[in-house]
Amino acid sequence: MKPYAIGIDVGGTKIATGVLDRSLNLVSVHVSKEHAGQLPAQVVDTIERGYRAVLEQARISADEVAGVGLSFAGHTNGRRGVVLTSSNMPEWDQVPLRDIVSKRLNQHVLLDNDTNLAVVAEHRYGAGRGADDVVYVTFSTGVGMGIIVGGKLYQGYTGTAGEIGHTVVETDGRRCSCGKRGCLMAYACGIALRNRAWERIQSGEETELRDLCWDDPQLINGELICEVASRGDPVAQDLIISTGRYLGIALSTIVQVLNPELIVIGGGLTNIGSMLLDPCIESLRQNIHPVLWGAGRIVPGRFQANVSVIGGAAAVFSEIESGEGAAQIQYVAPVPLDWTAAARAALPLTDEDRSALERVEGTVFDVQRYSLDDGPGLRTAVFFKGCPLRCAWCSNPESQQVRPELLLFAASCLACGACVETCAAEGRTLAGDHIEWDRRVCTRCGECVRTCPAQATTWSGRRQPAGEILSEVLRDAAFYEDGGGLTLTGGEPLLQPAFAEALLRLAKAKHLGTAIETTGNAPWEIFESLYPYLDLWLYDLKHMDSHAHHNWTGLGNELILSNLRKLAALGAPICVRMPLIPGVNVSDDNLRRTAEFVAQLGPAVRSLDLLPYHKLARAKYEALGCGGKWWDAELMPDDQVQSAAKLMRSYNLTVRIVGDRSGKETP
Amino acid sequence: MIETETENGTMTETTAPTGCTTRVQRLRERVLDTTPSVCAERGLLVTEAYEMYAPDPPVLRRAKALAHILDHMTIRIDEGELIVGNQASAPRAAPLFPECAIDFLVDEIDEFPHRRADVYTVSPEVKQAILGKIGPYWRGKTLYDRAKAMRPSEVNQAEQIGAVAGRGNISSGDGHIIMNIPKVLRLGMTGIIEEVQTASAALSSYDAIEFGKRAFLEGSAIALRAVIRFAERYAAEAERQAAGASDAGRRSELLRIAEVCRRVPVEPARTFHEAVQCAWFVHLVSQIESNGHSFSLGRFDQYTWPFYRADLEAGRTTPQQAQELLELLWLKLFSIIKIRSWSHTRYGIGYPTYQNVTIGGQTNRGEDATNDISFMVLETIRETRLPQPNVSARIHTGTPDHFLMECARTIRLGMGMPAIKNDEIIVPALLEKGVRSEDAFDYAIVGCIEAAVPGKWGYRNTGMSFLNLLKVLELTLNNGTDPATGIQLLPGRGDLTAFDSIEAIYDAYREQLRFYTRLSIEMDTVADLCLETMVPDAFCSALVDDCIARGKTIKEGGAVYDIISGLQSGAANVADSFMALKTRVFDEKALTASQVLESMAADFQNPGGELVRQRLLHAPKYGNDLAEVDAFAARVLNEYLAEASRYHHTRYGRGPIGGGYAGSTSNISANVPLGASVGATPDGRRAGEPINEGVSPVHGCDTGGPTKVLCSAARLPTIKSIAQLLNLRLSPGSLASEEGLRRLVALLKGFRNLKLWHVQFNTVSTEALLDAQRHPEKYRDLVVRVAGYSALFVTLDKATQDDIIRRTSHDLS
Repeated sequence: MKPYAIGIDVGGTKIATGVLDRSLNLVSVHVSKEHAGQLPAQVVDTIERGYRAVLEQARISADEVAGVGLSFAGHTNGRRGVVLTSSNMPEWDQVPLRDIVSKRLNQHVLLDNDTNLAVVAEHRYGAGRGADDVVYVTFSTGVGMGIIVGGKLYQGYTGTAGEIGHTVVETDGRRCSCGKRGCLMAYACGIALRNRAWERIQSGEETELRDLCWDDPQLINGELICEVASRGDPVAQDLIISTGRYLGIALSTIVQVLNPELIVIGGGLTNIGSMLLDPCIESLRQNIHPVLWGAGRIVPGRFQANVSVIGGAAAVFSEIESGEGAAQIQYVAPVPLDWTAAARAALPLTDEDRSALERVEGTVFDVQRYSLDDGPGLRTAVFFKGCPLRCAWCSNPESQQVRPELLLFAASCLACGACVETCAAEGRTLAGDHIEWDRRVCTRCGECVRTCPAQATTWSGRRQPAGEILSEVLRDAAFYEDGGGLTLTGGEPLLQPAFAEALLRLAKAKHLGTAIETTGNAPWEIFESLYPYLDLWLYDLKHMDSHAHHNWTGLGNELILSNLRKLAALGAPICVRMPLIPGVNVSDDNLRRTAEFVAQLGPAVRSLDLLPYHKLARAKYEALGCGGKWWDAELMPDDQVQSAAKLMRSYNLTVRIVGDRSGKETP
Repeated sequence: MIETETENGTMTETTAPTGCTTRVQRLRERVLDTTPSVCAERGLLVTEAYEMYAPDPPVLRRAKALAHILDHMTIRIDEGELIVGNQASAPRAAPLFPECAIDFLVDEIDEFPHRRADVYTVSPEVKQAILGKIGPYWRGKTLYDRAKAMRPSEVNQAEQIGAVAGRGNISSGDGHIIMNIPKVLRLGMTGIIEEVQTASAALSSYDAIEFGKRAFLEGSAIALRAVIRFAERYAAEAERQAAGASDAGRRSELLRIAEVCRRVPVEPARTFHEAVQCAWFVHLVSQIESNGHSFSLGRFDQYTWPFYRADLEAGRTTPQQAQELLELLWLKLFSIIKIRSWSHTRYGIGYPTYQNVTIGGQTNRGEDATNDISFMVLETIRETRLPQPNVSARIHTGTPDHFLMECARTIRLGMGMPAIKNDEIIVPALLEKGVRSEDAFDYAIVGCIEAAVPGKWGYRNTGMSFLNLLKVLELTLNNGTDPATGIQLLPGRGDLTAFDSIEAIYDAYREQLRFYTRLSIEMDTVADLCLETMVPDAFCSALVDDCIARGKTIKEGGAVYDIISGLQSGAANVADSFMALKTRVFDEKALTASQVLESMAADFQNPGGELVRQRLLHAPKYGNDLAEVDAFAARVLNEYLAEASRYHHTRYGRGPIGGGYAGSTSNISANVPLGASVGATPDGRRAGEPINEGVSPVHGCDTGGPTKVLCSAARLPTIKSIAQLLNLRLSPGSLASEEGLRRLVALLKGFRNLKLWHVQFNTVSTEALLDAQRHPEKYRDLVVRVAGYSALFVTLDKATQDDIIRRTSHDLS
């Protein structure tokens, strides 16, 4: 199978060309802005130049390309491969662009409009994975829609289905560019927003927009209106709220006609955030038949930038895979969620929301930048203090108690006696080359931490507001470009759900990738509340046998397994993580049962990660004064780790071996 | 063995790439097997020529000497070579430049084979030539002798106590330059000689100043013609060998070599082979002409790519053939070697010649410039695995991910190459210094890390004298007196106990810093004046714009741009020291000033000294993204920059744009000797320990991972620099999978987004380094990065090896 596909987006002002690999990573992209106002023949020349340039840049040959997906912003007939009309480029009239380009590039070419390709991308590879009936709606310069019904792109009889922008929302309303009156597009898209704002300025209404647009309507855009509205300008607020209402009416039509499982939303206007989407959702609720309220979800799209380029390539792969009879996407029964809860994840926060979230406090014992094994890319891991389990092999013993604890590291201790003098409880004595510490009399006053010259005595755990933690996380913002971001770990983040939610929502508002590492031992409601804000779940699975699980961790596994099943059914992206502990859970039987269970969870599971036991924690047990509890097991030999992985791969799972740095290393 | 992750997730093992042709492998083995030696040939020839041409003005006398050397030196075409041209009579043999310095050659001659590092063998004949002929002629007449005589005694004392150091340029000459190689490819020597003739014809025959220009232009023409004859000697030698060759394949190769050498550099190049040979001849002659180092090749991928593309289109070559030529060029560059006094060698261990090759980046219109050759250069690094030349990859926001991945794949080998340079800061930094936009986008790297416009910039954009920022702090805390020698050049404001706040110490530090900055510039001025009058280089000047048009050598103000910088070392130690004093003595009052001062004097060996050291050591340190301590580093560097910007160098007002100083933290391996002269310091550092390198944190003080190091460095005044050095070490096992490489790419993108100048990575594991110390014979080809350049690890002295091992290792799994 050829490893690459090319997506080309012919837009009103630019032509973007990209090479994508099978995971839809953008390998290389080329943008040309030369074609404005050009004739079809010239546009074809530009397409060819972009195609050659992008191959050259990516250093791949035409033989490695499976095909070209051509996205055209206008009316198209995908089946015939013809551009019908384009409002931006009037010369385009019934142009068989697919065949022209195919001949020119000597490649297999698909043609469709931008939203149809976007819905394919989101359905096959993005936010719509796992669902059968998906609608993609874009709110940007215009309003568009792509439809997947029964897992297939629905194009309609003449290939122009999905023209939601031209449904009438006001009879005898404003004139639309199509010639009709009262179309959605005349009210609720980037162009309409500008026109309506300009009219209100012209009519002499009192608004800050007048001063900021310098008498040039071209300077008015969604961003500007949003900014002015947030300062309380009534005209700007009214424009956004009414736009949201009209969009809600359109969404109600979509839900009532198609009853989709998922509506994926994208496009520049969604960046306006809750000011637009709150009235939109409210209008949806008012205009929808009650039986349909809550019968599906609204989620933000995965592919925001370059969505049409990615869509083109996705369509190529999608066509090939269905043609080659690749495994059909498994249908996962959706767990109904409130529309608004899921949609809120996509929203920028209001100032009040943000400052409220920033004040939420929690107890953490470390914020570790440059974490490598806790999700994709470079990440900052926030270690929550407190855990419901007591795994015998725990590599972070200081994470178990919620309250802050004092540690004394013998290796750093100079036996200088400074703490002996300062300890009011007389809990410390100098015993030759080391300090003895009677923890029973300790009042946890922390004076020893202050006086220790070598930082051998330290606090583990501090109460901190979420805002403070997030600013530490954002210090590494420069490094999160390639999919990195924030990972909540611990301890058990779900033990502090409000704090976890605050961190995740603050992170999402900054467009960071989010992940959580969890034992899974928490009430399901907490999963539901955090679900919208998480891009990845690292879900620990320690033993399949509940009795053994209880023996080794202090709790049975029923709740853990049931939560994992539900989470997978929701389609949440999951990496199942299994520590390999010799003598505990590495028997063939348990490996097989684990693999079977994980395999049944379906496509939500991205991988099964194996974490071989390591001995890095010993010093921390001793520092906590519980050295006797340290689990001194044998390390698992590499070949046994490999054969465990091999066995589990035989269940058709992606199995990865994660290095021995899964836990926080001893300082 | 490198572990790779295959598509289905299983781990397999593959051997390291051995894509080199047998020809390359054989030549590589031979050059790696050679212990460097000393060759007296150039020394004898230059002595002869100086005697013959004594009446000529210096520039003409030297041009004639170069011609004499090129006409008479031994030339060799070794079995299997396709790119030809040798620097000395044997491979990896250092030629002698007695005109620069002679005393160390005579005094250290018996030491060369027994040094702790950078060993050279000396044959009895060579020893005889040096002691019998070369030494007696040059004693007292060299560049070094003149400069020493001219230096104010204050400057010498400052060097003696270790506050400044600057022996390099007065004992080895300038270097640090990129000549206009693309111009030679385009015009050939013939075209450039025509330019010289046109300029000569326009000169007034009586005007005193214009008259002075004659000598330079005449010298240029002599040197350029000598280069043509030099190439012709190789053509003749190739034809001679071809006539006697029994193997038909080799015979046709030799005839091709002859054809190429008859064509270039005399005429414009037509093919990739000719372009590579031409670039090598130009580079080689500059290395024979003068004794400096850091002669760099500029944007090699940009000027050779059109030839490669044309060859491919015409079917004249295959990618494999071109790749082989590149690898052969790399072996040639590795064969270049020079010899320095031990005192100078200590500042740059590992036979460094700092020959930099720049790839990637942007065109002068700001478009991505990565091309086939950029990738082939990376492949060449992976195949040849040599510490020279240094390769710098320029990256910017439009650099294709694919190129970043290939850079990461190359970095994984652990040779510290390519070093990554960031257009997003370097281009603005050059614009800020008055460089024209199209030139700023066309920058290339000289030596280790410093940026210059190829073919248009004067010598030594960095590499003037070292300023030891930490020594200056030690002086400040001891009333301006050096504790080791008792020398006091500028009285201070009392010792540490005399200060009542950290700001009072800072004010006293500023006074000392300004004073020693001025001394370092005095040192530079002496060096520049001596270099200008004693060792002008006609050939090199002729190939730097606009020397010919102005009729001036580079040192007389011939270059378009001439901005230089000294090397400021130890900023992290200084910041950590200020922070430790501020927190421990003034804020917390956990220590008293006299406790700290006593412990420093006793190197923490006094009673209670270790506790004092621990408290100081555990104060917040630079490199952990802590604003307060990082700000001290930024303040100190800004202070230096403010002071240095008040001064001009000897070319100011004589033609070039610039004429003054910028900042540079490039410090090669000087952090070891510079640290040796500083006693214990308030950051908890013991006496004599190395100071930090460039803007890297003090070893062992960066405990929060590389992203924090990069965030700390981002707080420094990088835009005002002309070079900035940052080293990170990563465990190589962690880079084994594609996922690991992608994470390295994410790290590189963060580096780029933070607008840092330069970063390079050592990825050799600590275990491997320790093993290499014990069993050097097994690690003959282990290359590691030493502060801005790569060197063979086993050739380093133990102190430098230990220093590398101590660099904090960051996992990147």
